[in-house]
Amino acid sequence: MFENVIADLLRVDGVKGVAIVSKDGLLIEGQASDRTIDVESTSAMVATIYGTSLNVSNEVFHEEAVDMVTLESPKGKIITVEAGENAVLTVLTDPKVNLGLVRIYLKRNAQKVASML
Amino acid sequence: MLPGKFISVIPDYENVEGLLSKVYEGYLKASWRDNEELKTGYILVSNHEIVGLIVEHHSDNKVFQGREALDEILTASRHRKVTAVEIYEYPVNSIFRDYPKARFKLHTPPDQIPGENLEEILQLLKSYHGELIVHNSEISWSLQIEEGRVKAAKTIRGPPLKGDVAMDHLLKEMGEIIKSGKYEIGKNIVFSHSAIVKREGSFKEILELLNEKQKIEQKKL
Repeated sequence: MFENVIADLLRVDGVKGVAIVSKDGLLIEGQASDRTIDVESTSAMVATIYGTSLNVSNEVFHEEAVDMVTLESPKGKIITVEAGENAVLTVLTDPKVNLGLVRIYLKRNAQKVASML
Repeated sequence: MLPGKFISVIPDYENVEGLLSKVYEGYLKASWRDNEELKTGYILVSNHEIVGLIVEHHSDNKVFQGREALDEILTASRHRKVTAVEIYEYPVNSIFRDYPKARFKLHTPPDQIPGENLEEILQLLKSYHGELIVHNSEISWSLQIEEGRVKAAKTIRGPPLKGDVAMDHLLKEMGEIIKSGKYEIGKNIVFSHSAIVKREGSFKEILELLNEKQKIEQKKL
């Protein structure tokens, strides 16, 4: 169902994996161009990170909303945005990816996911 | 990936014709999986008409344009692999500058095709959706066609027949239809459940065989 979103994001240079994940951690749909990436188990962790970020934002800023969650490591990045009421959209990238471009495509495709769910 | 202004995404679309009315100048974009391989197709639209086709394979970055892209798009559509279609606005002439072979015009059929003109009727079947009427001297059949497949059939002149029985009768009469019959584009009509045809591909298969036979006979002459 979300082949359009996955194809769009995987085309961005440096993006190695895409997942649409329910907020309770279940993989809705995903694909990785790198076979070493386990999209399913990554999805569960991404949902946890996103949920925790919401709690922190609520606690610190009194705002239960998060625009974007970015995890940066020497071996890559994981960037997650909300995609509607019940899901998040996340990408796994190379460490030197063009973050600005990824964010644009991520937000655009998050809107698509939200309208399709 | 083509540039363009994203307008909307249509999940669970019914058919391409319905989407053409939503875009004046731009393209329809859809992605699908074909044996685990991701592909993206673009249908270029101008003045609400299809003017070009492009298909990209994500695994090896191969690009197919125009008629080469048509088979892939029709196959994906026939097997209902596409679930969501995106609509974009963009001047298509700019796209043709980068993809000059993408130009493609859907075949506009004449109102009537002589029975002997098998090439013409096979060309029509590639992309036609709607009613096709087949006449011979005593009987006429009404067929509901979708991309070369007969979904429903019934006689509208001669003995009252429906479904596979009507199709079998038509296929037996193909010799006569080629000699002195004709095909006619009909209006879209609704067929009853009893008119549904199970062997959807048989009409096109027989036409292809007869066309090959006709070509061989013409070569001998």
